[in-house]
Formats: sequence, C-alpha cells, structure tokens
Amino acid sequence: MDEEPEDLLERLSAEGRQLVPVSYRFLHVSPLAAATVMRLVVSAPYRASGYVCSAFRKPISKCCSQDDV
Amino acid sequence: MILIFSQSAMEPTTEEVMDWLEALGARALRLNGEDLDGGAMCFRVDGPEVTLHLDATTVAGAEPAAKTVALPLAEVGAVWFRRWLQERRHEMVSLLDGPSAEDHQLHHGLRRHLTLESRKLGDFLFSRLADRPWLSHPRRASLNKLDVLIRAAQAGFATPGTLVTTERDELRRFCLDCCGTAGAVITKPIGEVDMFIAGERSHFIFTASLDLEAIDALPERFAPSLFQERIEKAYELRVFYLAGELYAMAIFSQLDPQTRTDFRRYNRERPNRMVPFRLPAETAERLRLLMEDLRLETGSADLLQARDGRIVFLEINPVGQFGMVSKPCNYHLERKVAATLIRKELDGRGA
Repeated sequence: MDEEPEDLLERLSAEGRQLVPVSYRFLHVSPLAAATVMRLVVSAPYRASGYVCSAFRKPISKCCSQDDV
Repeated sequence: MILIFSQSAMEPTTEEVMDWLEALGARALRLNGEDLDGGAMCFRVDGPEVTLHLDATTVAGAEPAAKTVALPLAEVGAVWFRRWLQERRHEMVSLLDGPSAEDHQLHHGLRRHLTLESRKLGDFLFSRLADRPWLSHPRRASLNKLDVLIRAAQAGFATPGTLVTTERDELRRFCLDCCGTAGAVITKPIGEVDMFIAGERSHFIFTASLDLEAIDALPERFAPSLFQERIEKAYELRVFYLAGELYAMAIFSQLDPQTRTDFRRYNRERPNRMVPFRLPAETAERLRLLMEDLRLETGSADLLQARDGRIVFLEINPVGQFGMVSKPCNYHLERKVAATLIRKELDGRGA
C-alpha cells in the first residue's frame, strides 16, 4: 500500500514551499521512470567495475549482454 | 592515450564512443567520478609528475596479481569530459548517528565540507591536465541559461521573452503582455533540470505551461523562477555541434499533447517523428558564432521553428546525450566524436 502523497509539494514544510521555484509545482511524476532509475542504481557497481582500464576493454555494459554471458 | 572522464551509470553514448575508439585503434581509458569516491586510490606527486594509483580489483584488464594500477598523467594525450560525480557517497547517507532535529545544521555543514573536499580533488585532476587538448571541459560543462540567451540574441537569434521574478502579479502582467488573455507562459529551472526520487516515484522537472488560471492559483510570492513566453511551434530542432560541424534534427512534438510542451515527456507508445533537418545557412552561421562565443567544441542546442516562421533559440546543453540525434538521423556521431578525439590526441603529440 502506498500512502505517500503523489504531489512532492505536499511533502514540503510550509517554509520549504516558500523556498522552491514555481517549476516544483508542475513536477512530472513517473513510477516507470523511477523503476528505470533504480535498476540503473542497482546495476551501477557492476557497470563501474569495467570502466577504469589501463588498456582499452569493451564497455562493461556490452560485456554483460546476453551475447557475452 | 585518450582519457575519458565520465560517470558509472546512464552513459550509453560514452560506451558507444569507446567502441569506436577501439575499432579505430585508439588507446582509451575511462575514469568515472565514482572511482575517486569510494574505491581505493591515491595520487603520488613526485615533483611535477603526478600518478594516480587505483585499486586493481576495480580495474578491468588489470594484471591478476597486481594490487594497484598506475595511471601516469603524463601519458594522457587528449581528454574528453563527459560527466563526473553527480552525487557523492556522503550526500546519500546520514552522517550522524541518530541525528536529532538540532543536528540539522551540523549535518549540513559536514556534507558541505565533504562536497568541497571532493570537488577540490576532481579539480586537481582536471588542472593537472590543463595543457592537453580537451573535448568539452568541466569549466564549460554547465552554462548559465540566462547568459546564453543573451549571447544568442547578440548572435542574431530570435529568443523568447523571458522573465525571472518572485512576484505573481509581475508574472501575470508578463503573460498578458507576451501572450494575451488566451496565451500561456512556460516555466523551467534557471539552472539544470533535475529529478527527485521519493519512494516508488520519480519527480521530474520538465518545462511546464501556465495559463492565467494557473498563474492566479500561485501564491503571491515564490522563489525566483524563470518564465518565458510560450511560442506556438511547428516543430522543435535539436542540433548537435561538433568542432564546427552541425547535425540537426527536427522533432515533431507539437501534435502530441504529452510532448507538446516538453518532448522529453517521451511518448514511448507512439514516439515523436524525428528526421534529419537542413538548417538555413543564416541559422547555422548564428549557431557557430554562438558556440565560438561560448568556447564550446561540442554541445546540443535546442531551437524551435515557430508557426510565424521564425527559428527561435531556446538553450544549449554542452554535455547532453547525442545518441538521440545520431540514431534517428544516421549521423553516426559516436564515430565522429571518436575520430575527433583521436585527432586531438595526434595534435597533442605534435604540440
């Protein structure tokens, strides 16, 4: 069950509401996008491990694709 | 060697450029901001020589027995700045054990200081490479929207009427002046667009449209906010600029209510049509002038074709993803960026 208000503005304190620009009143809420972002966050450690390389290697995102498993 | 400054996530464009660097025979190394914010690392300074040592377990391609991998900065022939740390580890955690409400100021102070420390470390790395050829530079990676708007007007572009205000009444007058009683204004951040994650939802700041009714519903006073006249458009233009060359794409976002005000509110079921676009010579010249004025070698410019025939300049993102222009238009920008980096490295060697 999700009891959080959908509008982020409702979560701000009275003082907070006075301190944010008008664009905060028109935020685009997206559950799908959140899932995408969280997936990226979760995958970040795996992705990061392939990024620094003394010699060039295939990007880790490609290494982890089905073709490479 | 070409050094790429990037971040660990959401960088598909960087990865494709790296593929092209490999295919074209270049030696490249990618360093993410996160590698200096969590992994074991040290800078060794021997007189003027600086070597960055990284924990070998975090380095792909490292010798199995090696504990650390060394990156002598002297070996770097060219640098590509894509991104760096978006958020630091200390910004994501509670630094105090069971903080009370009174600890708020202390917590803020700790975070602020740690952020400054982290920035200084990144700045040190960038400054040690100041004499190498760069494609994009951290100092020019974040433009000031209002400053760019003025420079665009000086370059000859039509620009939207713009207002920054804290006053509802002033905004109402601006809307009536620009757009009449039936019109509307748009609002967007003065700085960068951002996203806030709260629970299962993300909250994006997109460009939003306000008519008089919406304006009247605002409080009398608010934080400084940016407003622009809403221009009726035939279509939008996204133009990628790379070292003097322009690659333009038209986006037919106007007929879809979801994408009309901001095409980034993507309609994934029925995507906007995106096609290659030939810029009028005058527009291309203005854009080149503007990019030179801003000392940018790369960037994505947003313009729109107004229904009244004008091409109106909106803004520039110096480090935007360019795959969204490259793919629909078959521009192969990833290869062109890789070739530009290789050329820069060669130039650097010859210098």
